[in-house]
Amino acid sequence: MIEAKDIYLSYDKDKFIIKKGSFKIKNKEFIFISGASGSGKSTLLKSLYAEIPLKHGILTVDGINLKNISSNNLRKLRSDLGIIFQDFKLIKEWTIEENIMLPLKINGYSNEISKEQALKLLSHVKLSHRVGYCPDELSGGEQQRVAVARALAHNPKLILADEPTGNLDDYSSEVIWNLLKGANEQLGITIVVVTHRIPKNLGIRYRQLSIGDGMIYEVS
Amino acid sequence: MKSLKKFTAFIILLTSMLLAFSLYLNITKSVDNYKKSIIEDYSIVVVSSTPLIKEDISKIAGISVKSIVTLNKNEIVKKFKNRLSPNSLELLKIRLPHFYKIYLESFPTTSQLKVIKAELQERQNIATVETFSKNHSTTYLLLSLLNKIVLVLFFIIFLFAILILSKEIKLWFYEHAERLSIMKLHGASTLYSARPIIKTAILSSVISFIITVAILYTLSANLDLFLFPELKEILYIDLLNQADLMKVFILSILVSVLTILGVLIQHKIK
Repeated sequence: MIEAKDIYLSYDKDKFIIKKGSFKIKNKEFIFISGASGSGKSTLLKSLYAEIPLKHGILTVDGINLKNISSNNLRKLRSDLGIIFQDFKLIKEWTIEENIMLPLKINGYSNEISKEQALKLLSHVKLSHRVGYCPDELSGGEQQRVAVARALAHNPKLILADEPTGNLDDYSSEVIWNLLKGANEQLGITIVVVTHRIPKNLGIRYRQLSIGDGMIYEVS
Repeated sequence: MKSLKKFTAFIILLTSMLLAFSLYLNITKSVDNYKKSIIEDYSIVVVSSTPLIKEDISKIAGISVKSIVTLNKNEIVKKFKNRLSPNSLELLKIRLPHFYKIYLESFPTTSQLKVIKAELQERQNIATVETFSKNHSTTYLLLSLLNKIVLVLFFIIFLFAILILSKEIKLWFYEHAERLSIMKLHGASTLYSARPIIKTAILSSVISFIITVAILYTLSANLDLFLFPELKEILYIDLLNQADLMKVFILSILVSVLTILGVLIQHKIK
C-alpha cells in the first residue's frame, strides 16, 4: 500500500525533518506513527497525501509515485484517500451530511446516492439526530465523528489520520478509536494514525513506527 | 446577504455592458442603413471634353463605381430652345462637352471626396468635377461620430465589467479560502471547487440578458417618447432584432466564462 525508500522531507532547503526514512505499510494494516512533539510525525503523514513535496527518495502510495506528482495524480491520490485532521477541517457553512457527501461528490457520485450514504454513515457514527446541523453546532467529539464518517464515505483503501483524538476528551477519543478499529477490522481499510498517545487496550493488532532525530524506526 | 450583494453587482455591471453593446449594434445598423439610403441619391457630376471610357473608371479613391450615366445633351439644349435659333442650338449641341453622373457603391467620407475629385481631375479630358461636397450629409457625419462614441463607451464599460468581475471572483476565492483548501485536500479540482461562483456568474449572465431584453422591449414599445419623428425616419431602430439579441446573449455568457477562466488560471498558477 505504502512504500518509502530513503525519503528526505523538509520545509526549507537545508534542514531535513525526515532523513533517509524507509518503511513499508501493507494492505489492511493498522499503523501508529509516534514520536515527540516536533519530531516530524505530521510532516511524514502530510507527505503521504503529497501536501509536502518529497525532496529525495522514493515514496509510493497505492501505486502512485509521489515524487514530482502531476496535478491529475494528486487529485486521484487524494480522492481515493480518507483523511482525518486534528482540527476536523469541516466546511462550516455546510451541514454535516453535506460535509460527508464531499468525497462522494468529488468522486462523481450523484446527489441522491451521496446523500443516502451520508445518512447511513451518520447513523453509523451515531449522529442521526444531528442531521441538518452545521459543524459549529456540534461538540468537538461529534465534529470528529463527522470527519471520520467523511473519511469512510467513499470506501477508501487507506485512511490517514493526524492526531484524530488530540482535541478530544477520553469518551470522545474512545468513540473515535472504536470507529477506526471497526473500519480496519470490518472493512479492511488500511489505517495510518499519527498520535503521541497510543490508546491502551485497543484490542487490535497494530504496528508502530516512531520518529526520532529525523529517523524512522519500527517499535517492536 | 453577501452572495446577494455579489449577485446584484454582477447583474448591474453585465446589464449596463449589454445595453451599451446593444446600443452600439443599433447605431451601427442605423449608420449603415442611412448610408445605403443616401448613396442611392448621391452622384458626382463630371464634365469631359471627350467621351469617357466607362470601363476605365471602375474604382475611385478605393470606392467601386456602381454606374456611370451619360447625361442627354438634348435635355440641356432644350433649356435654350426659346432663346437660340435652331442653327445655334445645333451648333451648341455639337460644341457642348460630355456630361456624366457617376454613382458609387458606398457613401464617401469628406476626405474620400477630396481624393475622388483629385483623381478625376488628373484625367486630361475631364474639365470639371462636381462632388457636391457642401451637400455632403452632416447627418451621416453626426451618426458616425455617435457610433464611435458609443463604441468607446461600450469598451470602457466592458473593461470596467471585466475588472470588477475578476475582482469580485478573486474576493470570493479569498473569502472561501478555507473551504477551497479543504476541498483540495479531498482531491477536488479548482474547477470543481469554484462551481458556486461559476454558477453565480452564469446565472447573472442569463438574468442580465433577460433584464436587458426587458429594457429594450420597453424602449422599443415607447420609442416615440425618446425619439423625434424626424429622427425615427433617419435612424433604423430595431432594438429587438433576433440576431442582435443573440450576439448580446453570447457576449453576456462569454464575458462571465472568460473572466472566471482567467481568474481560475491565475488561482491555479499561484
